[in-house]
Amino acid sequence: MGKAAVPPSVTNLIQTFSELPGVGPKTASRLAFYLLRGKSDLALRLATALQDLVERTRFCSICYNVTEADPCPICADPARDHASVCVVEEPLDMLALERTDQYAGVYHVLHGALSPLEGIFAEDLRIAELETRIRQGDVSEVILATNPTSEGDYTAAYLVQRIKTIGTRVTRLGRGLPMGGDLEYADAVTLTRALESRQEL
Amino acid sequence: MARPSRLQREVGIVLARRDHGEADRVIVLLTPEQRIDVLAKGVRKTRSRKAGHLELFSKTEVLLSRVKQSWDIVSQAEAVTVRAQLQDDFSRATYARYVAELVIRFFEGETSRQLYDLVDATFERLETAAPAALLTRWFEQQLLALAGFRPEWGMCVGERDAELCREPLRPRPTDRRAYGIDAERGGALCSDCLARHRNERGVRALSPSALSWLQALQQRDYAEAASFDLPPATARELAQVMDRYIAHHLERRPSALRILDG
Ligand SMILES: [Zn+2]
Ligand SMILES: [Zn+2]
Repeated sequence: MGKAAVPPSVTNLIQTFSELPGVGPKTASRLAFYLLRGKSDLALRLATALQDLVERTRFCSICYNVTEADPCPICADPARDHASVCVVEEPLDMLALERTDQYAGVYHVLHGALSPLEGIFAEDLRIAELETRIRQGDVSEVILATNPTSEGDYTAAYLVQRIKTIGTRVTRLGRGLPMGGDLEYADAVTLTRALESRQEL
Repeated sequence: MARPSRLQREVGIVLARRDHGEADRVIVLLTPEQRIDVLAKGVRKTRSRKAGHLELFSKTEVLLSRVKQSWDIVSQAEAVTVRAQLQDDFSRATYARYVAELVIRFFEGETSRQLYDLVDATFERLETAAPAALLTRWFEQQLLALAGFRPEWGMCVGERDAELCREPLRPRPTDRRAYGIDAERGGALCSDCLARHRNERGVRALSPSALSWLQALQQRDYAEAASFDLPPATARELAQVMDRYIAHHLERRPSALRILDG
């Protein structure tokens, strides 16, 4: 089957799918043709979901989590402890911590970790916003929950320096977390233990 | 042509890494023979047996499977030395990133055992009590030499009447006039040549103290260089002139130390 046998709209979808992380050209083709068979309205529902994703979501203006309402439900929840701010690299890390059901504070999403060689500097992350938040709000503890990796540790070490000058208490998730892995892959039990055993910096 | 073995055992230093796909990482490894990019699959998952063995700056024994026209794949990894101090101490972690960045920017493909030993020793010293800034300045001089950019600090690289000046440079604290640094000609200038070349690209003034330090850092081994006290003003000057000197040769400013700017 030559390339001309596949209509441009299908090629385009395959191409777009394969830009997703973890999706190779084979999987992309399989997905595209699955949708094409059109046994249900799956393709249309997917289209609507994607449209909503783009049109309805934004970053929470307080914690930079992805949200539809601003502030996000967690920041807007009066039952949560707004004096405790847990700093994570990605929204997925936040979800992992929420799954433990053990943390009652609020979050701050950096959207990455410092990696100067890859061109990711402090100004590319939501660090200035975090500092402003600590300076202006009644924050009594900042929990650094960046990944237990070289990049996450470096980001944490940088944040400690910055936050110490403000004078706020800083802790780091406990060492129960295995080094090298990303937080989003850690299980709830391990994360709960890490939260409980957090250390003063 | 049959390959002798599909798997290859290597010991290498992790210089850099970047996320790849959903849970993989591309690792930049410096072995005694080469600088290579290898793919560690699934390593970002906490249960991966390779996780924790491929953190930055650690010396790791890897088992590589060769893949044609793609990255070699890390099938096993076992850290020989983990550089914990280079993870937790912000200043040392920053200098370690700079050391790795210079190696990556100056070297590609086949490298020498000398480079590997230099990087290994530098990370080891950086992790212990060594003054990080002084060690980094010493490392810069050694690396430039290995990269084929050895600066001439011992005699003037200036030109007069289309002839090389070659005046021997013996800086003393009592010198009244500044010497010069000339990135383009690759070395230091006597006072007369500084005056003549002053407005050329890559030329700057250099204090007698900074010049004698550059000479010492280049010629002496680390222990000897570290036995002298580096005055803070000279330390700042050396950091500045070497930043510009290296940026001139790389045609870009290294990024790792930018975070110390303020
Ligand atoms: Zn929020
Ligand atoms: Zn001269």
